[in-house]
Amino acid sequence: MSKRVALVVGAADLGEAVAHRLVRDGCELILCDPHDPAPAAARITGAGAPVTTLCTPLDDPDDFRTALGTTLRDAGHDALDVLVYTLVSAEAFVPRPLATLTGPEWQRLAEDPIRYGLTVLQVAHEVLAPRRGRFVLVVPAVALEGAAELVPLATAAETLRALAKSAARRWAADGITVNIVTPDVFAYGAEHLRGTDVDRGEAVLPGPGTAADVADAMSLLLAPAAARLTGTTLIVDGGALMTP
Amino acid sequence: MTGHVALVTGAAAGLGKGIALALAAAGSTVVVTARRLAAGAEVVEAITARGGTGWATECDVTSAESVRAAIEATAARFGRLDAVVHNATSRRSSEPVDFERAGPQLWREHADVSLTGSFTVAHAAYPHLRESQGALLLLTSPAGMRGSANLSFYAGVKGAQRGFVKALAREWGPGGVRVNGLAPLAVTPALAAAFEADPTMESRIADKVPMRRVGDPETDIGAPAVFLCTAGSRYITGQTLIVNGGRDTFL
Repeated sequence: MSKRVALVVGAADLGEAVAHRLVRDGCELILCDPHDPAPAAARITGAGAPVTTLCTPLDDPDDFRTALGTTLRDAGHDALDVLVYTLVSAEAFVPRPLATLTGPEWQRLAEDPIRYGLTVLQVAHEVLAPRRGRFVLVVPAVALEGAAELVPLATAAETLRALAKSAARRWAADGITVNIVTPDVFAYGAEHLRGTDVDRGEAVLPGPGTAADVADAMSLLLAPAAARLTGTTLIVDGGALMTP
Repeated sequence: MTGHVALVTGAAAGLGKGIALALAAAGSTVVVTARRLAAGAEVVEAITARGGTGWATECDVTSAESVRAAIEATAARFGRLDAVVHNATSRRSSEPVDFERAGPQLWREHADVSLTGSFTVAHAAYPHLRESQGALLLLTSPAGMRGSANLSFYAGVKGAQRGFVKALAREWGPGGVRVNGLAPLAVTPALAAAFEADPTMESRIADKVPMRRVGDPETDIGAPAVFLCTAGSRYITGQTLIVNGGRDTFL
């Protein structure tokens, strides 16, 4: 059987951890980011696996469709088995009271990230359908409980979660599953948020959760045993919320 | 509720009209905003005819300037603003979306009213709500929690409002300003038209509702909206109240 082909969108720390995990699981990897994914790809390649990179804007589904199609063909692939979306900009974790935001800042912090995620979701169906692949959306758990001064981040994350659930409903008949992983913000390396509203200190498992922990949990959703899971949200927060 | 001033967006018809009428019946001075002033004025006539107090002003929620002007005009006219209900929704809301092929413009049309609109309404209302220790209420939908195969963009923007409500409630809580959501099922003009086009649709929907009927904008949705806008709910924030006859019991 040929190797599984995986696309990871978002090459920051969490995306890199996810990419590492997928390579360890035997996937051929494409790492995509609107900013240069090459440094992250080089670290993974240095660990012994070739990584294809795709540096492309995510503003328009047609442009992304073309860019991804070219990358897949050049790498000798016809479709994807796995697509994991992890993109969140570092700026999104900077606390800002809503009253201090201008309209353009709101667009950049809340609405542009939604556009990027929607672009990838829209193109995902056609590249996942041939192999009945799996989509995993990774967004911070502030989507579920909110956090003061992180309104744009919570809004964008919960929008993408609703869009992903809609995709799960649409694509189930084609054998494509769509699931969601929600880590706490510290798994993204947002240590500056310690002691702020988002830091509830309610995790019951010892030690801080890491990007690698999130990547491991994400890989559960790609296991054959997870075939019946779709539209579900896996909360990776060390047992803080314990809901539903 | 002497002196309670509430502003409702998209209040010319449907849910917005129902909520405006209910607020007025409960004693609020209601600012009826709509894209067309004449349509808002008709609702004010209905409020006045029932002995209530209302005032209509034009407001296009896709324009930050228009939102700010409506809110500032309200504060100038009545000296306070206690509650803002952002009910307006895109005309596209009830149209199925070809999710995989829809262009950025169609998303924009959904987002302008519900997503950008929530930001601009909250942003403009904040100084006044802070002063009155008031309440912001967003009309959302179970679709935002469950996702929707056909109304996928609608589900997206309604999910957006849920994340927005939770985060902003945590942010504004220390200042005493409350932020909540209300997710209704009611016979809006769009739904009424759909029922007319497909006579079995209403019973198909009602069959999934434990209370076996589709709600009325004023009597079924208006009353809980009044509750979330007024002092009876003063210890409730960051919540979404689902008002749909028990249709969704797991959310």
